[in-house]
Amino acid sequence: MIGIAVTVALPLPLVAEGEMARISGGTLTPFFQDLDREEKRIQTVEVGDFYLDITPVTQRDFAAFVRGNEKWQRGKIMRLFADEGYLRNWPDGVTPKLEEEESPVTNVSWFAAKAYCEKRGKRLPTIHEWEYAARADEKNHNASRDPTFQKRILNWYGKPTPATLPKVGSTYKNAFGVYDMHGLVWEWTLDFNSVLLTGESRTDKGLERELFCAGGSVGVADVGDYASFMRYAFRASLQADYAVGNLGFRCAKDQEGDHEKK
Amino acid sequence: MKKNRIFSAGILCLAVISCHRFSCHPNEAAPPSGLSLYQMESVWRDAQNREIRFDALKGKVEVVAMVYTSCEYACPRIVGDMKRIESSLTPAQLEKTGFVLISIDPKRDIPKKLKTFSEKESLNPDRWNLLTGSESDVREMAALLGVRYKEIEEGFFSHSNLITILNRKGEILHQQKGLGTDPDESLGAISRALKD
Repeated sequence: MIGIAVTVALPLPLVAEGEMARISGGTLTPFFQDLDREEKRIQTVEVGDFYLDITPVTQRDFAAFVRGNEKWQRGKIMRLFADEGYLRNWPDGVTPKLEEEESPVTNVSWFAAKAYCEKRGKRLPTIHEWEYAARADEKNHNASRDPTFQKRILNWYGKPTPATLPKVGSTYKNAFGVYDMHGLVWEWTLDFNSVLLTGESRTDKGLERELFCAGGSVGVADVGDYASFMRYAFRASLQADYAVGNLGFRCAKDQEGDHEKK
Repeated sequence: MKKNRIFSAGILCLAVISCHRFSCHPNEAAPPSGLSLYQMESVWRDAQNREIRFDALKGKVEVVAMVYTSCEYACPRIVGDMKRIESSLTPAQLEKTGFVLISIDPKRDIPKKLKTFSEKESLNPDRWNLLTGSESDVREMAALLGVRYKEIEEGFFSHSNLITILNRKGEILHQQKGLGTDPDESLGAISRALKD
């Protein structure tokens, strides 16, 4: 008789998921600037107050959603709403791997992410909201001009996606009380398809004006902000039905009493 | 499944009773396929200020684009490209083909504005549907069609130049990119769609 000792590492959450932080709004300098405008000054937008999930949505939470909402299950979901990669990393399609229950859910389409948030009485954050929350480091609400922070972000982006995704909350907590805005997964936004960039092929002539009707001249706020280039380029490459291995999401909510936003 | 069949039978009866210009084909009462945009249950308003469900367009081939009425450069050319498709179809094909313009500026493109635009462009209301809806439905429609758009300034948008051909089941058959593109491939797609 051989006794077998089995050690099971129970996936314990690092932080309370589903919890939201109240983000006090302010002025954001959007990465893309319309250069044709009369005024020469840098354009800014006002981001209103909103709530943001403090972590990306976990695989465990998404599994609960999928269990209760059949049409979002792998195998039952309409091809219109997700491509063949949907939840490909769940061995049986309904349960995450034990060691990834507290990791961010990935391989979910924009439609699925949106549906999850809506079911929770929330929504996806807009790009402006996401960027506003993401420019904070541990101490400052706006660390966008801090070269050290920029370097850290680029280092994170440079690392390959690990075979097992780390748990949510395992990177850093920023000044808004929000975790993992950089360094864990890319995240869906409500208006990801508001990013229009030129084509990628070498045969494209310049701005490919015929593909997009644009202002004519679009520039960026900070040509040194390579990390933002990468994020926006990634958004521009997405279609709403894509399921991508390092693309997850978190939800946002309007301030109590606000009208329904875009 | 059984529930679906009873539901479909009910729709079939309704279709026979109230056959209107959008869908007069009883055999189209089957539940939409996995790729059909008619799974969208969104409700829109047209140029006559009528409420219309997107899936009411089922049954005809639809030539769809997302534009806005105060657009001065590309949108008139997109409409021009759609008219070019329209004028290249045979009368028999025309009977089974519709043209849809969905506004990316629903705040300003209220039904009255759509009506004015339709008249200015001489769009045949029997064949052309101009739709305005909620901002979130517009964002979702764009996501389904692969259209990208952004409000640069108040009432001024940057957007993809894209014409989509939906087959009678509402599945994307073909997309015509750019402005002034030769309509041959679109016409071929429409022809194939109408043979089914």
